Amino acid sequence: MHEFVTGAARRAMPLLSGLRRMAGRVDGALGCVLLCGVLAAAVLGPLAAPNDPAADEVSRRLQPPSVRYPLGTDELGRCVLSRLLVGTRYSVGTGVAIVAVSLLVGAVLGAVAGYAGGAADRLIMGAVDAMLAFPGLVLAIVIAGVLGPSLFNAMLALAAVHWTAYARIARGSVLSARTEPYVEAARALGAGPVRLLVRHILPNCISPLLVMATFGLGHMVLAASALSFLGLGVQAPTPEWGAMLNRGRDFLLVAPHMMTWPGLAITLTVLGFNLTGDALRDAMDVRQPARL
Amino acid sequence: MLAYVVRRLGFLVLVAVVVSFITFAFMRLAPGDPAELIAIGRFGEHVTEAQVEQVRQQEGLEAPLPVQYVRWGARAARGDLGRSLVSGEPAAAEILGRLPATVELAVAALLVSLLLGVPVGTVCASHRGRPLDVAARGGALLGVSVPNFWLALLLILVFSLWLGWLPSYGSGGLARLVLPAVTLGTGMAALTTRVMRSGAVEVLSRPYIRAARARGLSERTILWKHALKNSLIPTVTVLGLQFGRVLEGAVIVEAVFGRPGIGRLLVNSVYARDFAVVQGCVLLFAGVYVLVNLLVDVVYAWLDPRIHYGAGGAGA
Repeated sequence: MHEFVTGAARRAMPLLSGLRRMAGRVDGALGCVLLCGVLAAAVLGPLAAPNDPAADEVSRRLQPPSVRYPLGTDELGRCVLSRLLVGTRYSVGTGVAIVAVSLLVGAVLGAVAGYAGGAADRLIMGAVDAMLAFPGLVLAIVIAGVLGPSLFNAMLALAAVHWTAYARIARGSVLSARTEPYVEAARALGAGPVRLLVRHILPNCISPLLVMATFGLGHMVLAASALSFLGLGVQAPTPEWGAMLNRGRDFLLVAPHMMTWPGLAITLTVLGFNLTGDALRDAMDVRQPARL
Repeated sequence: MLAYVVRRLGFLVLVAVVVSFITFAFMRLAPGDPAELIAIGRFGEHVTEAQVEQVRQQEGLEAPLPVQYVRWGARAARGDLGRSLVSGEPAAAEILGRLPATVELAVAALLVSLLLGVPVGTVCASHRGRPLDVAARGGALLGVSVPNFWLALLLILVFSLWLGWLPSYGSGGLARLVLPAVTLGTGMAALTTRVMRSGAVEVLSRPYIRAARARGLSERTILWKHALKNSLIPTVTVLGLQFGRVLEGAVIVEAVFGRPGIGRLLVNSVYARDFAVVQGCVLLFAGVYVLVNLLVDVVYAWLDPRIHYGAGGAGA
């Protein structure tokens, strides 16, 4: 029966059924709910914000939560809730961009290494192994700091470190897929290496990459906010969560709400990705370590 | 075994070269003239063109980047990391002076993670699937999701500012170590708990445990006397991985708690573009991380005699 299913549908089925199984689990469902909340805040944030996130007014600085300012005001009198909502795009968007770039670069380089073998493989995987044997955040801090503090440089620094994880997975998947009969068949039909990789091999490596990317999103949201917290990422007055937390440091006792809520936002976002990743990994039966 | 260790030490050289080259390239390609920065450090704010040129000649900064890197590498291999731009002291001495505070933090954090993770993981395994297990696993997941800089601020707020029990700043003495170690250790305990739990679950299904049950031993004796030791092996293997987290975490935790360790030195040197010190820190991090992982592998082989590292069985 399965011979009659087209190639595309056959590739999509394990992915779809995996996603369905994932959402059916308690942790998967909880993770999805959290991520839907994050997505809603990112999309609707500016509309839902009760106040102008940039409107400062020194007379109402460091106010505790009130009806007008549900989460209080910061050191310049800006609405913390509004900044939190608008900041979702920066905090989560940064993570998404880093993972997207890393996934692309890592998957391509890993696939090339696995498919080509030989010197290219040794060169690429030598670099990957060397970088994986170094605490990534430390290297990212050095790169971001040297390039100068900015959102773009922080993203560049983290992507420069993060792609290695995907390269290793892509290489492994390609190595195991390239000897499959269906690949042999496509090769016998005259498919070139690019077509073989893109059309036939990579689609079958999606599950492990997807699981890794889900954990990677949580990891990168955390790392990007850490860089901003250290002053190496987003600069004032952009309302990013890590940077907001950093400002809250100086007003811990007077205005604890300035650091409580951004921290909670980061935690719930990362928790959402981790829960979803765990469920996805189990549902798709992908064997790999939770996070590096 | 010896061949394996030698190969891993060769790998250490590779890691050091790759990581230091990346740092080197970014440092030199970044905006700002390094010769001018060094000249400012040496002669003060107002430097003349001639002084900058003099520094450029002296430091060999006119040479192409790869040549500069090789020269730097040759000096570093002899233990000469150059001088700090900020203090003028040799970078190596500067870094070694900061080492104790970080080592102290790392050891304390690992201890916290083991003291928390091993018992919780073991209890989870024996209560598999029951509410206690689910709650502890949820807690572990929360533990890896909480940003450590936020946890640090929460702990400072509660234990230093509200309760006034512990100091929040500086280093020296046990009291100043507690909050940073707990901050770093709880995040790591999450991984310890997970690994410990899965290790114990596996061990508890083995025949010798069933035999112990058949002999009528109490569950408590079986769990803590018979199962615990064998369940510890996977936990030992992830200690190396955990050490990477310590190094990453130290950078942030030292910044929040104002501990004068390597992590804080690195961040400050990055801000000041203190090239010699940044490179030195990066080399140290690479060396320590790879060596700790090598040590873990060796200890692992020693703990479990079935494992031996033969030819071809490399791995980072």
